[in-house]
Amino acid sequence: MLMTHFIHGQSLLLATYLALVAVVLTAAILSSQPARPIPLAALLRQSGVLLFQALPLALLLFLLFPRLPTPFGGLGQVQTGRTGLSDSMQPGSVSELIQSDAIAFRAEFEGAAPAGSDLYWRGPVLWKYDGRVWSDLKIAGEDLLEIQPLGRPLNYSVMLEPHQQHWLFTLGASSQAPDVASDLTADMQWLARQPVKTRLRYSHSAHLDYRMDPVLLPELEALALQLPEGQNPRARRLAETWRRQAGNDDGALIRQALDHFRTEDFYYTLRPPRLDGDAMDAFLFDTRRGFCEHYASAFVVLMRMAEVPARVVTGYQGAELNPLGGYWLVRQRDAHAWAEVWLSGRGWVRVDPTAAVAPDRVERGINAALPELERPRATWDLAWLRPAHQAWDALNMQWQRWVVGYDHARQKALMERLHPALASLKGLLWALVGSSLLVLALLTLWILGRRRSPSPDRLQVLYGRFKARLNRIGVATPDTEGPLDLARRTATLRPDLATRVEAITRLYASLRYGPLPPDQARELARLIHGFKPRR
Amino acid sequence: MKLDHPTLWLILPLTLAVAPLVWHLPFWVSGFWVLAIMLKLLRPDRAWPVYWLLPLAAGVFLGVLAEFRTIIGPQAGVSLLVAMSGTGRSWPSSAISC
Repeated sequence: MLMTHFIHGQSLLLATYLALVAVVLTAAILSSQPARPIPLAALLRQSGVLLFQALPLALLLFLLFPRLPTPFGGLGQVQTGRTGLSDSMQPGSVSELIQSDAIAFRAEFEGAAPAGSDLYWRGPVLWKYDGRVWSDLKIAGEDLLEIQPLGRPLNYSVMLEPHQQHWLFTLGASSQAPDVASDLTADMQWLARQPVKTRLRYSHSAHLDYRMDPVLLPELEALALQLPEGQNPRARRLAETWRRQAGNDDGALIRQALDHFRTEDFYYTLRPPRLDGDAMDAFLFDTRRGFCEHYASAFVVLMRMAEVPARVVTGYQGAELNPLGGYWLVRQRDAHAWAEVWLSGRGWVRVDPTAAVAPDRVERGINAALPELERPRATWDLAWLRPAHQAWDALNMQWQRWVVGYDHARQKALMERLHPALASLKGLLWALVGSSLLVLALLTLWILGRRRSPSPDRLQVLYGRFKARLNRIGVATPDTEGPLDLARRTATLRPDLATRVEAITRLYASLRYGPLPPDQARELARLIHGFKPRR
Repeated sequence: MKLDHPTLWLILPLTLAVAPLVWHLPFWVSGFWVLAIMLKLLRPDRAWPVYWLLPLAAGVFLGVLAEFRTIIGPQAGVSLLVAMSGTGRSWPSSAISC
């Protein structure tokens, strides 16, 4: 029954709790023994010792018991994750996530981590806009995507929390797949073949500098310019004005749009007013208050109106370093939406209009960008709790990596490193049986040995040491001779030692036969320690 | 209500072992289990008669079957295990084996 708990969760906290319950359960079994009643503390101690003795065997079974390539009978599939990003976006959908401090994933970099402003974790890419809601089309066909890497690759690994969807969040761009079963879409989304229902670890190599789709296919261009008919006339007039001013220079048009967000009275807030009617017109000209989804959405609409292919990308931006574990934490509150525009000769280029309105959002994180009253609060925000929280999370990370994450692939890799023969199931089973028998034999010998040789008398040990020192200077110490006789004979043979030998012998005799308290044994030990006679 | 040592040593570990599962189980399974524990606490000296126990165990089995349409699988299996742990006559070995 204890093991069934792991169907619902495999956290370190749960495992610790279950280990303690196992101690109580073992104590319960011990208590049912017909012998005399044992006090509670002694029962628990005995139970703990028994379980501790079983640890070597448990460790061996953990390492060698064959792991299955897929979870047994669907175990581990029951875990339910918190919700995260979805395949659609409307005003309010990202800002809802910001209220949650749940962990989305943890990331580790090989070598130095990129700057916080480069940490754009790519998720769903949204193309279709109906005037209010953006939708992901999940355009299949990685052959439609062309990535030209620029600069050196960045290697990193991600431990993704279950989110019930297919997205694998990745940095930059790369056509090299993460090391889990996944497919690449035409808009650079990595999708796991199975929904992520349990914690998933993957490694990836990506380029932060890249050129994506230098040539845009006509089908994709049409999708990237799609807009609902007859909506948002004021926004359309603004975009057409910018187009006339910029001519054919799309870069200048983008700069003009960002300047508009930067210089006009736009405000970054988690509590934007409701947008009625033509949502973009209302946002751009009336309310001017919004969150990242408002800015990304408005920017892409304006670009499309100005005939610049554009799309919305959602994911996470930034991360928080856990200095104790050396990894980066990305929370739901880091959820973000940004834009990608297609520029001739450069391909898809990331543009973050939120950074124009609230630069702190990208540079220093969500809390730095929001007004004081709107900042989401969590227990770990308390400064004095932060180190404890980080330590606990680092411990959890190691637990997940080395214990929960010890799956079929990791076992195979470890066994191959130990000996190639162990990589096969047959070899593993032989090793399991052989080493288990060896551990059991050693344990049995140890227990038997302990029973046969009761712990030696401390006084006897001390006196034996004293006799050994006498032997060393040529004084024989037969077992048949009592301590007092030995002392008298030694005093005759070596008068220079008489006083010290007499003192040691008297104290030993008092401790052995007399009423002296046992702490005098320490005095005897001190005297014998200082007794180093020369020939 | 006076608890003897053997009863305490059975109820305590069983409660510790089952408690975190209660939130994941169907309401009636958790309720049944809590009720069984409370009955045992109230009358620790009384063993459930066999003519109660057998229909009760059969009812639990059928209840789980009706709930999940199977008794195989993690959820149905755990529910059956927890419910049956509450039907032990005097909870001898069935409870300890958890």
